[in-house]
Amino acid sequence: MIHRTAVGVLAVPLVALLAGCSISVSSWSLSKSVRSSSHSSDSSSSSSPGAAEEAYREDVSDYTKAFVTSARPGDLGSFRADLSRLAQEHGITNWEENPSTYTAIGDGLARAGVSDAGLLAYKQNLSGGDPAKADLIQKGYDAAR
Amino acid sequence: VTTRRTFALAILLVSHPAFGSTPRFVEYLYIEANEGASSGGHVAIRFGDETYNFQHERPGVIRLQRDGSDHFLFAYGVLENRTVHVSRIAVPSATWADLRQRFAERYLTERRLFEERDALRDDSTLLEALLARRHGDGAAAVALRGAGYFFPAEQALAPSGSALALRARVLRAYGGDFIARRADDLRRELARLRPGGGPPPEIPARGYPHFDAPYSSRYRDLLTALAALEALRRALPLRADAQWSVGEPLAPDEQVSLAAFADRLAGELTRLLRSDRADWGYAFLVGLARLAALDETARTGRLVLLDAFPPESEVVPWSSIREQRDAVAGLVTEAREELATARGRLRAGRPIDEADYAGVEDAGNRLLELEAAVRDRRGLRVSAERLVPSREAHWADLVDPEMTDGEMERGLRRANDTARRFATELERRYAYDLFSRNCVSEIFATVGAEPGSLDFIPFVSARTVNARWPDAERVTLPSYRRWKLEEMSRTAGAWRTWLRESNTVTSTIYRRNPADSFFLFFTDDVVAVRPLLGVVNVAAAVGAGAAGLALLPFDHGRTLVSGLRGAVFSLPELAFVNLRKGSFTYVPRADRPVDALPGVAAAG
Repeated sequence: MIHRTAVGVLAVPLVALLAGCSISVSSWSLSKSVRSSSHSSDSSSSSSPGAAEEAYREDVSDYTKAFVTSARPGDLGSFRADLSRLAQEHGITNWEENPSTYTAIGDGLARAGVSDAGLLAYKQNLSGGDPAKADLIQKGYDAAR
Repeated sequence: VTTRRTFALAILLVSHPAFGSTPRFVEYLYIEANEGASSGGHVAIRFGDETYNFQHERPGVIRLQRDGSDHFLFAYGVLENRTVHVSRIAVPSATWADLRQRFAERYLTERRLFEERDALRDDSTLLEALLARRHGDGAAAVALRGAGYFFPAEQALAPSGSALALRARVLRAYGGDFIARRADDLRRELARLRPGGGPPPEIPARGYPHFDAPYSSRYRDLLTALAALEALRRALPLRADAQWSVGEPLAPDEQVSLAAFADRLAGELTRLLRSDRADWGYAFLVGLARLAALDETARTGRLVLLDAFPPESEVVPWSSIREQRDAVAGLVTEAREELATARGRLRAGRPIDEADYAGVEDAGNRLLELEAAVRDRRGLRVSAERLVPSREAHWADLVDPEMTDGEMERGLRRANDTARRFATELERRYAYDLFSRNCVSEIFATVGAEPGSLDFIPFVSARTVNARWPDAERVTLPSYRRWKLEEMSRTAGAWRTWLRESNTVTSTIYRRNPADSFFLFFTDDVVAVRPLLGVVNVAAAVGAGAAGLALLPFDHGRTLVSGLRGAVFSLPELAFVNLRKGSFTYVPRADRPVDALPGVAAAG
């Protein structure tokens, strides 16, 4: 009986030893008061000023590529809706007015292998008739090709 | 077998000795164990500024997390006090980009799937509220993000000057009846809106998912747009409890920069009213609120900001704040530095945009929250996410849909069923398994490699990586305490330092953290005497547990649990195994081992 109990007690840390992948976050709470854990925020301790803008561009480009190359095509409404949520993670609510949004979309379209004809359709639909936005998409596309 | 244990894609390209372009580093991180849920160690993969790792979450699912690399090392290496072993594998730039894209895409995909789960649940909540409203429940309401900056409207306050000006601008641009027409259109659209009747959305086997917007999302977007128009029509002032001000006056160039941004924002908001975005109402409410805050900033010469903390913010209780006054004082200093950095953008001599302003808003809110918690002796709201203004209002003026009671009840039953089936399928797809779906297996799977039979154990997986890439640069980042020990040993002598720092009573590095179990001796930096110190730790922990029994009526069992946990996590020490290392709630910025990470900091 005593032997069984001892084995049981010893088994607890042994099982714990194997049980990886979870983390203890209770110690982190206070540290979250000063800044976010994301790489998408510039900080006084950051080694690379402008990292936030770069992170936004990367995310929009990655998202565009993932959206376009998905097995089931999605509509423009869902593209915009998901883009809105993504932009908010970067502190941006009015992503339509941010030039980086459009260059990053162009970048993502190029990386997704979208043809010139496909690009034209995206430019027309996403620029809302604003030639400056269409130019930014083209610029991002050309730079990534 | 060895081949199976490799990162298939990386093999292909690393095997070419001459890279076509400058190589970059993919870094495999093995993080040593600590007590509690982190006892098995952990692994992560790093691509420059981004670190990806899989975590086991409730309800038994494993999810990909993405952190800033500096934050990741700070959290694990400093606060969690865990040594990190880094294997830096040189790969061509194209491989690096491809591997990073795989993780980024998986991250975006998972995030979208779990958002859909929440949105489907929200369908039920909305339909219940609409039914309750129809049956006379006047309290039935829907929470609208962003509306909380204006609603419930404060009747005693005069209309907002900035909203009046914007309203005039909008009416000039789009016609005198624009707001009324747009509001009528929205009401009609809301009334016609119906829940989808199709099968539950399918979770694709691979690739980014596409879902039609759920009923609740469409309804909420339209209702939020209606609230935005109402705020504009009435030129509602910002609620007094939704804003706060930084005490220090702004410099003249900062004021000029913010005034220019306010002008720009007014133009952007005017255009936003014609946007094709379904969720333009939320962005408009936030913009309108920021415009009012900027107006107040110009009037007072001080930075007035929206309260940007999300409604569901985690709160550190006042009791914890009180016990850690030194830490909080340090955090206030850091928050001031962060705000000063963010304000630097206002003085950069170029027009600022929303991202710049949001940076100031985020940093300012964190400082103000810290100061308010200390001043008002209250809990501290914290957030690991970027702060985006999202104050909610409970909106009771619901538009009744053109559906019979029966149709709504059937819609509710279907929504419940859809939400349940989607959640069940999602949780099945992302189910955590200690042996086959854990933090190691999912990194291997994302890279496109098959792990070996024992690679589910984090430290074994690190050995596998090192065995496959003997030329990989290996960097060990010592835990915070061990790094400090090395520092102190150099100046004060090894033995003297060790004697003082070996235990929790006389240590100057470690201060008792309530999150740690009870122990006396640190055993992570000693091997030969580990069992001996382990015996002392077990005995001390059992003693603490016994004392905890006596203290049970007074401390709600905290000492008892700490003692019992201490005994359990000291047992492996008897067999030369160290798990517990102690952890920290705060380490001052100036005291962090930034210099210990030159190789890694330069990576990517």
